[in-house]
Amino acid sequence: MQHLASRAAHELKNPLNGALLNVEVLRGRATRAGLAAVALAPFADAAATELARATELTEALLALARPVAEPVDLSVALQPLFVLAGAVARAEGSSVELALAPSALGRCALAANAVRGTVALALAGAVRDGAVVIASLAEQGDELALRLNGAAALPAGMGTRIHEAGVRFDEVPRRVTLLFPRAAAG
Amino acid sequence: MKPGKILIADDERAIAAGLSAILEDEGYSVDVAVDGQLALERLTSDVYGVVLADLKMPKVDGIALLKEMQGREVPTECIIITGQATVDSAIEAMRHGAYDYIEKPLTSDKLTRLKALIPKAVDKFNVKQTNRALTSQIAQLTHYGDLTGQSEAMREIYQIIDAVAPSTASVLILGESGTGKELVARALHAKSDRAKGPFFALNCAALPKDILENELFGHEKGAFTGSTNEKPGAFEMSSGGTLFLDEVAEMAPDIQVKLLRTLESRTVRRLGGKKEFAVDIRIVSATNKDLQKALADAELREDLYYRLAVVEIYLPPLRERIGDIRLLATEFLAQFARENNKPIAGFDDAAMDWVLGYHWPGNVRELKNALQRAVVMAKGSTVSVPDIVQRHLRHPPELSAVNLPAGSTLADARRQLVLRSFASTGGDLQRAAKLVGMSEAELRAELLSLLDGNGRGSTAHGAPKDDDEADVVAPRAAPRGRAKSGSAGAKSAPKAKPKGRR
Repeated sequence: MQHLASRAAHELKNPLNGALLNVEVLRGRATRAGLAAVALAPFADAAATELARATELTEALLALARPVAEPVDLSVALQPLFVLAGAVARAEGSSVELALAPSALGRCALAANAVRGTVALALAGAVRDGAVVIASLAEQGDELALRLNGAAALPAGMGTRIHEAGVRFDEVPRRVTLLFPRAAAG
Repeated sequence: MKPGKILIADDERAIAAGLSAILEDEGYSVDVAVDGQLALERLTSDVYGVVLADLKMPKVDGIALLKEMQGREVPTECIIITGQATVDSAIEAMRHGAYDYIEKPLTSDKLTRLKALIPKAVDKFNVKQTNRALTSQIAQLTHYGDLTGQSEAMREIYQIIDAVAPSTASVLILGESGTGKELVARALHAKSDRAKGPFFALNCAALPKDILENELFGHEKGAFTGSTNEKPGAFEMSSGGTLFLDEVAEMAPDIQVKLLRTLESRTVRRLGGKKEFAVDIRIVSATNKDLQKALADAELREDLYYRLAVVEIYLPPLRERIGDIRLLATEFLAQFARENNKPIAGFDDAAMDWVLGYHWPGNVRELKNALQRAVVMAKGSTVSVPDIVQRHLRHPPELSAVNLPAGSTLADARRQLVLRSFASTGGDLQRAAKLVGMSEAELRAELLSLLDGNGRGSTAHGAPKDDDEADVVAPRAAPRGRAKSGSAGAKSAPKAKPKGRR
């Protein structure tokens, strides 16, 4: 997860750079006589969009630093992780996003850091080589399933490391499923 | 608009659009590629002075882009802009030829630095382009296809090839062995409309009569004992292209008759066959024989000669284009040094003097072989006389001939004899004087008079030192390549023999 956060922090430079350059265009052209304001709008829009991207990444980084209440609400705990993973994946020619989870999803018995660490590890293996991954959360018996649909095959040895973190793991072609133990009700 | 088109290679569209607008405001013409693959396509289809490339890009990243640019010899300068700046990535980028490396985000000061870097990179690109253009111009002056030579004689030959190649006229190439007759034939083919067709070369002297006939015309199955399959001949195989008949004057008389018939009818009949095949060929032939003698002795049929020699090209021997020897020697040396992986930079002065003074009876082929050997034998960073000469001890340079075209004056003859003799002894005044039958003092006075008269100095050894000086010892009106119709007179003028020099 540390590696993911570090890579994502680097990715923060892209939207910041986009925003800076478009603001620079605005600054250079704003004083030019005879230039209609409408001609500047696309650069203002681009700068705003890039700042929003930078803000989203910054908030995701901050969210990862905040303590998470236990037992863990997976959709809340994993959301910032997927924001960062999405930014990193895009830079490497892949993509990943987390689909909205069902509202009545139960909570996970594992600690938040263990969950995030395991998911970050699985994402590092599954989101590569141009893979387009849509992740979804669902209840599956006594467990909570995180399905990485469209995943690349995990590298050798990664399954063992996931098991060692206390998470069950299942892999079929183009799909990796992580099964987290559900917290006891109440 | 400022000179030097710029390409931005970045998958971040907001960055590409913002940077593009800023550079356009600076007066540059800018294109954008949203990944490395598209950037490569742009770089190979258009000319850019500078490419600003992101390090991390889909498909082809910045380093891969640099490597491809190096591999394809794209002259564009590359500035890497990255958010992943590390010492390792910077070193790798510079190692693969990046002009510079800037870390994102492009804050105001970094943007100012980038704006200052771009014109410098454009200047570097322009210098490289100018150098390329000059190198290309020089190559065009000294080369023509695989032919090498910058002498007037060779330039005339290039012009003849340019003029003759597009036609269907038969060409007869005359010249001594090793002068490059097949290279001329190949150049004629390559410059013709038949260039996409086959080029088929056949040496008429290398094959026994029956085999040559079979090679030329082919045979039907059962045409002779052991002919279990039909076989098309050279005429059929080169149809649509060019058939090169080397040493054509060595052909047996009865084959000459069949060849003449084929050239007149443009049809060929295989040995043992009844059917005639139409062929669409251009004949280029060559000989190193004295054609006038061959015609007089009936070794070559006159009617065939007129068919083959619609245009004649005369390739002068190397000794008649001394100005090309240095160029050829330098190129062969570089080629063999590269092939043998030897760090040989050139010739020492004495070796070059020897190369320029030797009469090269085997012409370019002999020069090439001698230099291949010299490179193999050389122990230092330059080729010295023993590296080259060992093989030629039996043909010392002082035996080299002086060629005088008909019409030369006695003064021309005297001048050439004196200079050539002096050069061939490597500047040994005593030996040269003995050779030409003068006293040393007389020869010294004669040389000074000749050189002063030409406004040229002499080298430390007194031997010709550069191409211009080498021309002093070359015949002023040496027989040049020429295009003639139906003339047998394209052979070199009578040569002065080493004996009876005075």
